[in-house]
Amino acid sequence: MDNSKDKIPGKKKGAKNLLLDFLKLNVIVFAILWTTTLLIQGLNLKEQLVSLSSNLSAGLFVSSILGGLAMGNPSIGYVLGKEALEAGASLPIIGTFIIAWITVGFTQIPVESKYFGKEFAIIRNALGILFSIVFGLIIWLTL
Amino acid sequence: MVDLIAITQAAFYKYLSIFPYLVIAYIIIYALRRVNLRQKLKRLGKRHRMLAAYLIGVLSHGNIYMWYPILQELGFDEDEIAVILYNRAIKIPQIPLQLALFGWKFTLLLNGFILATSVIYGKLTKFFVSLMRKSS
Repeated sequence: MDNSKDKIPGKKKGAKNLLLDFLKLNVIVFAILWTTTLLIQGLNLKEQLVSLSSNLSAGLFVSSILGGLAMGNPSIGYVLGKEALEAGASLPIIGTFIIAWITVGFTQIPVESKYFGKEFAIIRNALGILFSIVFGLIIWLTL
Repeated sequence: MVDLIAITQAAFYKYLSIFPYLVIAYIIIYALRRVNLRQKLKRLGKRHRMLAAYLIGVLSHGNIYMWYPILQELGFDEDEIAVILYNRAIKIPQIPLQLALFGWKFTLLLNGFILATSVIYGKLTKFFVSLMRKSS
């Protein structure tokens, strides 16, 4: 059994260090929220999703990136996806967008890196994008 | 033109909605250290740990920021953490909403895809992370 993971790297026990860790997390979370609110307000997601539907391959890739950037309760994503569908977006694009919204989180990379290492954060999100595109292709082939 | 004050206000309100979860997370971590759950989990075999990760992912709720410190504290491996984070996409209370908006075929495909591919996703994450760490 691998005991090297018994020690959390760089972590010391004790209430003081736990409190410092808690404070750092709060600062990072607020910074992320501020940045993504700024970013998302500049995008008009519904119209972007409709325009992406004209080209499947590019559309799947870009909609997965948009989904990865979006944050908030997934129910917002579902409603947005439905509105985009009714406005003319294709189901594979919406499917990719939704699954990327719920499985990928670019905005969480700084916090994920802090806890699990930057390699983990980057690889996990990159694979999330890939799997989102695969899902979009499955939708295109089946529905 | 971007309204920075409105953005800061919006971000602050979002942060306020997340703050209680961060407090809960650290209370849970303190409790986990007291009961030494990390060591108890280590004693489970790999299959049982992966099954635990799979179920934790599906059943877990709450803000994701709350889960990062908890998962680190529990000492799961990278593949198990990836499975938990991926399976968190299954939101059982939101399935009726998915059904209402997109129908049963899409809902089945979406949730089925996540459940069917999460372990592969976890294994691939662990594989590429170790590759990246070896090469750096």
